[in-house]
Amino acid sequence: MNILLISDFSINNLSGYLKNELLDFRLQTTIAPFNQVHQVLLDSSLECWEEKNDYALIWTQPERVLKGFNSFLNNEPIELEVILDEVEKFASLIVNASDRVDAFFVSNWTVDLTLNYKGILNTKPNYGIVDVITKMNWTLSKVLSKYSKIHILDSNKWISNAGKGAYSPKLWYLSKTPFHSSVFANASKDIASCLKSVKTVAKKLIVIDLDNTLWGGVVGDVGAENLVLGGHNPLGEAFKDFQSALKSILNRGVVLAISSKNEEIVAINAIENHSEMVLQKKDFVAWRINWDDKAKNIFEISQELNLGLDSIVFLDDNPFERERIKHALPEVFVPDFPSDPMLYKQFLLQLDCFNSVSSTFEDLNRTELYALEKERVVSKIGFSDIEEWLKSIDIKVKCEKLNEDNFQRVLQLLNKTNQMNLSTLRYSESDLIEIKNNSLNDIFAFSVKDNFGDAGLTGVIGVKQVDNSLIITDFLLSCRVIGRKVEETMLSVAIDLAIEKGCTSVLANFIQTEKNKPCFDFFCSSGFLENGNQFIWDCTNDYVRPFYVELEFLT
Amino acid sequence: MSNLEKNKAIIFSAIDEFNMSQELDGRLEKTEQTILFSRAGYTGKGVLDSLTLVYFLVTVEEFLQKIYGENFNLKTQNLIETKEKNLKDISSLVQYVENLLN
Repeated sequence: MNILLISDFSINNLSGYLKNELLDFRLQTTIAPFNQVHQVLLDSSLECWEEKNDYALIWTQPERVLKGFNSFLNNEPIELEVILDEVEKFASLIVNASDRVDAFFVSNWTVDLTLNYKGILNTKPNYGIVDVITKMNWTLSKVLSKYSKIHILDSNKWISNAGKGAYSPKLWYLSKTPFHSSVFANASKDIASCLKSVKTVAKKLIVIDLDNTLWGGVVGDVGAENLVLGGHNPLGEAFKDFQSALKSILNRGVVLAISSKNEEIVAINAIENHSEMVLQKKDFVAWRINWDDKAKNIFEISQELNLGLDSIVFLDDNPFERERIKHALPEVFVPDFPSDPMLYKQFLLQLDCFNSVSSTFEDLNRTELYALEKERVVSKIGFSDIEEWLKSIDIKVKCEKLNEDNFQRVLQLLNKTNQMNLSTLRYSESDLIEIKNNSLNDIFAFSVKDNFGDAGLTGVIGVKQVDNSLIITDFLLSCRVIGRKVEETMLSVAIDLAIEKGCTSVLANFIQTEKNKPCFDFFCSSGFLENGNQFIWDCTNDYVRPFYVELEFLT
Repeated sequence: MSNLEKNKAIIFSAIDEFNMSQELDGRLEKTEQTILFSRAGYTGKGVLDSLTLVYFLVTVEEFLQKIYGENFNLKTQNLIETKEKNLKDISSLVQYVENLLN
């Protein structure tokens, strides 16, 4: 992983901190020529762009990159519009340079507010420094937020967390470094977290304990009415706030499950009837409340929800249980939970494993989607014949080509789907744009809904014509809708397209990973001819699409 | 503990702090013999360049200020100008600080 650091000051200190934060990712940094920000943004032929940089970060001082703002700081007469116009021009340079990387991070602007620039008038509209810098950052954000690969970082946080000595005149005069090293240490933590969000898939499921984690006390011993939760009690308040924080994380698209050693009836009664519970039963997509090994319970929950163990975070106040899970299920993320409940909320909100660089409709409604899936499973039990059951639920599949509206969700699915995935090829935004623009390629997105609800955009097929064959380069489906004949419907789309293009065969080359056996099994039973890791369909044969799946093409 | 020992301990604490900002091959060892920067005509290789030398000295000054008060001044510019004498290694820096305090 390579990152180019662009700045109008000596940014070497950040490079060291950042590398130490991201040792596992073997981060390489390149420092762009000092104080040549405009040239670096404009000129892609400069040496610093020669090597492929995955990412770029720009961190500047506004008075050094914007002439107008420098005049403003010197109390020279200048209209705010002139400064904001400069901001827009500067932002457009960043947009232009962002084509050269997969993601571009932009630190917003700060000034040292301990200095008395305009005294009491610092906040006066269009005159005070606080007002002007806020408007500059707002303008920067307004321009850059239209571009999904550009991410704005809050440098105010790095500086305020560093305290009184954040700005260092001494370091500035001796080395052209404006900030104390603690600012760079703070920045590196934040930037590392952002890089991880871009590079890795965010955690999707929190499995949580109940007693002394979600509430104070052991419900089986003290009864629901005597639990420490809410009320006029410092610890009770802390547990309630922790639940509110969990709820806010749920609203970001993470789902919640319980693994607790308790009697299920007693624990569920407390969840349903304790008046101070913030989390409701419907907020939990699964639970295992019993006396079994928690490792077994977590494994079962992951199977039930079709989620990989590496998507899970386990929170438990008991160090024994945490160690057990770390040992038995090393893929599960088990942070060292604080021993003091008053620190639970802060601890939870400081975890960066839920960070995602984008959020889609499917992310934000994940709890509801899993609840619908649960209803489906319960309903399925009433039918002995799976086909009969599938016929009864009115499955509707919408197919559309890759377009601006579905682009982000398709990209997300390509980069995070593991199980029903033919090739597990991962793509950057620019890779996908390139594929989209190649006339030999087609990418189709599939949305699924049935009587139980809308699962959203959950499937993707990528195909490429090579001579007389149509090659399926990507075939993937979210685990939430596997087994509803959507897979077969997607294949029928590829076969119909092949016939339309005059191809004689459809080829699917399976690339094995640790997790995509379900995809291999599907192709083995799909009617395609198996030839090692290649599956072949002869287009002279009829492929029968499941008639009870309604397929609609959107143009 | 003598003043020299005390100042050496302060500088070693500053080294710990400084090393957090450095990659493995840019870190300083906590010994009196640690050479700070490479010099023409001398054996031994130091890890600091002109920029990291400044970062290190500012960190050292901060740690000394914690003990001797905010007004303690390492006279960094002077120190850099006389680096051949006062910044040969950690022991020469310790001696420099001792001289400043006296």
